[in-house]
Amino acid sequence: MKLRCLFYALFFSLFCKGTTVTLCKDCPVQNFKQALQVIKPYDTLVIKKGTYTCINETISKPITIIGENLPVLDGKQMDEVLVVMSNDIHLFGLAIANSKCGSMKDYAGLRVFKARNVTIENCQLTNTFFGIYLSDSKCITVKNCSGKGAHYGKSDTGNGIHLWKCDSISITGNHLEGHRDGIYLEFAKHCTIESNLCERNFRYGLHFMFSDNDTYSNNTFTGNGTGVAVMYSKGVHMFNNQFLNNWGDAAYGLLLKDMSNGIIKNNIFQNNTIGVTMEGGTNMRFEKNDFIQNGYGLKVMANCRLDTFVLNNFTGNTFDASTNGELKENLFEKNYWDKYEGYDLNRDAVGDIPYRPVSLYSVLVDQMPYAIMLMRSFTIDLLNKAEKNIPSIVPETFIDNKPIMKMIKRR
Amino acid sequence: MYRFLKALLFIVFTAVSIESCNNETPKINFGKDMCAFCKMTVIDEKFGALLINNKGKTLYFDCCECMVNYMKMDKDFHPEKILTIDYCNPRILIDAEKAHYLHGENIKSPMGGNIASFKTSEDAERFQKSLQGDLILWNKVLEIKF
Repeated sequence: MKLRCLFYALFFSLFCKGTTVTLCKDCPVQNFKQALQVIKPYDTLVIKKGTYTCINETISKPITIIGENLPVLDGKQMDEVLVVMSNDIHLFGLAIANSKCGSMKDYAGLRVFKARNVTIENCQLTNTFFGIYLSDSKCITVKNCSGKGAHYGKSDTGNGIHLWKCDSISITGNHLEGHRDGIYLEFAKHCTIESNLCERNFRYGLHFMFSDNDTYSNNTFTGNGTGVAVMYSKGVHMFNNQFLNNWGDAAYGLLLKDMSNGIIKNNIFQNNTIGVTMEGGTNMRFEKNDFIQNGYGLKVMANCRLDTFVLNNFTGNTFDASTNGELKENLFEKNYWDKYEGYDLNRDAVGDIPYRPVSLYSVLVDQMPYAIMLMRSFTIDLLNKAEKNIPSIVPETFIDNKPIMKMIKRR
Repeated sequence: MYRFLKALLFIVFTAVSIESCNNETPKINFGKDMCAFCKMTVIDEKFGALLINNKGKTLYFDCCECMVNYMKMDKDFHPEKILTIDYCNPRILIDAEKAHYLHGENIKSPMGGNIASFKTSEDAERFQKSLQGDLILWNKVLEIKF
């Protein structure tokens, strides 16, 4: 009986299949606007290679659009290019180009508004003000897309992928370049951001504002204006990311501001002016991260509480850590510091004397930036040594009581 | 010759005197300056603010709400000039105490304070038609908890 039911179901599903509308230069349907009018809900639109004008076209039926050999939807810099305003829309392999740029309205290449269950895959966005703009939406997948900002290298560009009031969004395998922020999240919950590459964006590679319970992992952020910023958010987890090459006056690998209950694990911070800077962080856990060749490895402000730093490697940083006052209730334990000069007599792989990562000189530089002139000089070495033996200026509580003797190998 | 020297002296003197009291109009370097309160790079040209104290120290902010929050936090700064950006004329700084403000949830200022500043009340009213929100003045802005 069951088998028969299944058979009938399969048989009828053959008839339920939607029809396909093809859009090409020699087809009956020749322009995109016409195609959208002709097509019925749950049909498939196949677009052949070519350039089609598409100025502020709204898709308000649940359809699937498949682009063959990357057809171009051109907005001619008149308005937005494509607007998605219905549930169950799937877009594959489209090139979206030339949206309008302007400071008064956020023009987007592809805007998704109040929709659920939308897929955007293998799309290419060129010369758009905002790339993909998702607002008031749920359950959306953005996968393997690429975006390049309109005003490459100028400050008046929009964000690559912009989320506003969204829930359960997955952003995977995208490449974003030359935008204001690569990926921007505001009021976005339960999002997963995975395996993306954000490079040379004007401000941040990734930017969180008021976005709780999100996870980002396996991403690479390199050469962005000032790095990655995670602000005013709760429960953001960061795993296996790489924060590379952010050099500059106010640049850092990762900025954490007013954050709580986050886990930062297995990340690499390399070649940044400041690896991680944290202000107002509560209950954050830094575990198994590598801080390699940064100006400052870690900058923890005095208003951070209940944070844990365990099993991290600090190698080749000019200053391992810095702070602006007394740290309270923060735990540093079992980290490897390459500047540690202690010994291990009982051979338990943990140093016998505690290590203070904040040197006198880093406190000095913090208060008098021009003291940087004396870097690596004999005077400074002498001062640091004196301070190490008779601590008086460096903060008392910034201390690793169990520093590890050997670097922790991960890869 | 004497006349020429006199003229030359005059030119040099004026040039020097202008140079010495060169009171450059303050401006924000978008994409470079960092907000003194939230540490974000100032980038949105429709929003932005600036404080100068009596010693000439300048602080930059990415939006009004950050400036107001900073003024509440750091009471020792004693600002002499309080400037904000005119929403209609991006990058142009205006006197914050004389400006007109529009406060409402359709205004997406960088730090979620939902406030924009305008030089004239006509501009503010014009934008109120499309963006809604309340028209307020500086003393009310200081009372808002951002």
